[in-house]
Amino acid sequence: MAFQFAANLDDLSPDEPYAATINSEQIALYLVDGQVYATHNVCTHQFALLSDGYLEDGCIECPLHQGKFDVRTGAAMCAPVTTAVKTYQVQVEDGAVMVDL
Amino acid sequence: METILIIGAGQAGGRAAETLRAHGFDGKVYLIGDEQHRPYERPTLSKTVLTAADDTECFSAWLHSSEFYGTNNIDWLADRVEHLDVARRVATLESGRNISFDKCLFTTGGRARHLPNLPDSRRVSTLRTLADAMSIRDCMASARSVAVVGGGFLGLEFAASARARGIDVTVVESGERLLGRALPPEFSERLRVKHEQNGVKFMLSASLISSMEQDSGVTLSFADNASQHFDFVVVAVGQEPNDELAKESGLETGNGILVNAHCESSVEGIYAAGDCANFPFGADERRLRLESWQNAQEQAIVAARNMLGECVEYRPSPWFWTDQYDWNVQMLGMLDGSIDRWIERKTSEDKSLLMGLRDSIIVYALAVNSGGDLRAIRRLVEQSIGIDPAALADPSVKLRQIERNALS
Repeated sequence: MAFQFAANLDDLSPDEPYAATINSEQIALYLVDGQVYATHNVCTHQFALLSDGYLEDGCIECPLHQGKFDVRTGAAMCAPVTTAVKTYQVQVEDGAVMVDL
Repeated sequence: METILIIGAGQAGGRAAETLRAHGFDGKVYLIGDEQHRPYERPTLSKTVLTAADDTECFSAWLHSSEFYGTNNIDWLADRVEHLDVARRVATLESGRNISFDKCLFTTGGRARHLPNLPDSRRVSTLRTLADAMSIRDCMASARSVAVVGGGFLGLEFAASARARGIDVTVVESGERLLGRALPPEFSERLRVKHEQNGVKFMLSASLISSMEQDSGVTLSFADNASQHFDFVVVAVGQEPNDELAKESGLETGNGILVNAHCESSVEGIYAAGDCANFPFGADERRLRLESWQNAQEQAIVAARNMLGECVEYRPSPWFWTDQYDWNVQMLGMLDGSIDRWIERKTSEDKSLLMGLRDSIIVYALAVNSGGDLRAIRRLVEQSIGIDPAALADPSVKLRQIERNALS
């Protein structure tokens, strides 16, 4: 239940998800309206990295079939994804993005 | 109480029923389908359904839970409409039941086309339904060789799945190249090479004359007197739209049920959507029938909304995907003679974005493992927005930046 370092805040940009692997867990980080969110990086529909997808209005679209997840809650927003993706708590300390695995 | 009848309980029919309720329709909804299953999506039938290890867990692409229809008061019936009296608004079902309706939506989809010299049998099958896929799965369990007749998207996906299971595959295609109308020639070639690298054998420009089935398998004979033996055969030579009932009922048909941009047929109050619907497309309003997940999804939603009094136009930017081996290939827009230049952003053999432009507008794009990039240019394609070709060709310029510049 400890927060682990995932990235420097400076590495994140509003359009582009950032992929990080922490203890072999694949995480995607998103910068939305100045806040950082984190989800598991693997789509729940078929194997694809959400960090390769399209981020807009707080939703990440999977690059494979464009199913959408809300990055804040992990909720599946549109077909063909129906199962929510796991989210993680994030804290930003001194420019470091920390994720609670 | 108003009654809406939906004929065909596939993806389009199921999505339409859901949309009616989501938009507040509280009249009667009948959803009639001739498959034994509740509405489901077909894309996985040629992929994970065939390759998954477990028979009981190989399929899960249901549109809704089984409780959904009861909970939402949708009368889903496993039955078939035999006759439709359009004037009196009464449907007669195969079971003998009569249903009176106010509005009707045809989502009858299509059926797999058969070749006259290759009828269905124990070892020869088409692939359209979940039942077909499970039966093919059964054949695959003990097969060492298979012939796929038809090198289109479905045939190629099946070939990739068969190779994943270690089965020898031969693709028999009558055309000179794969997907002659759907793919740019260079990509057609790349795709063939990808399959050959995975052990698939191709017979292009093939003339299949006859087939003979014995206990041990199927022998296919070709025009040059050659013949080959396979454990089983899958026929994937396209789809016929199920527009016969509509035609008999007096609706205008012709490569599907003719509808306008609002999905309404030639008869007022009767609509069509999905694989069976032929609609006006593009600036020149040419007639088109699309066979894709996106079309079944989105056209059904538009039709349902219009049946409830909205006035939404169906103006899609066709989007299609195919998954073969480790390639996710997506296509956006239409491949036609208007393309005057091609630009490619190629990261590797397995990751690229090919774009066809007309007057600095991207009209067609083909992405290999680059769905995120395709999505970044999607609005530019959908809205025919001009871009700077030099920037597009420059790999150091991010597509999201190009998108932002073009939209501002």
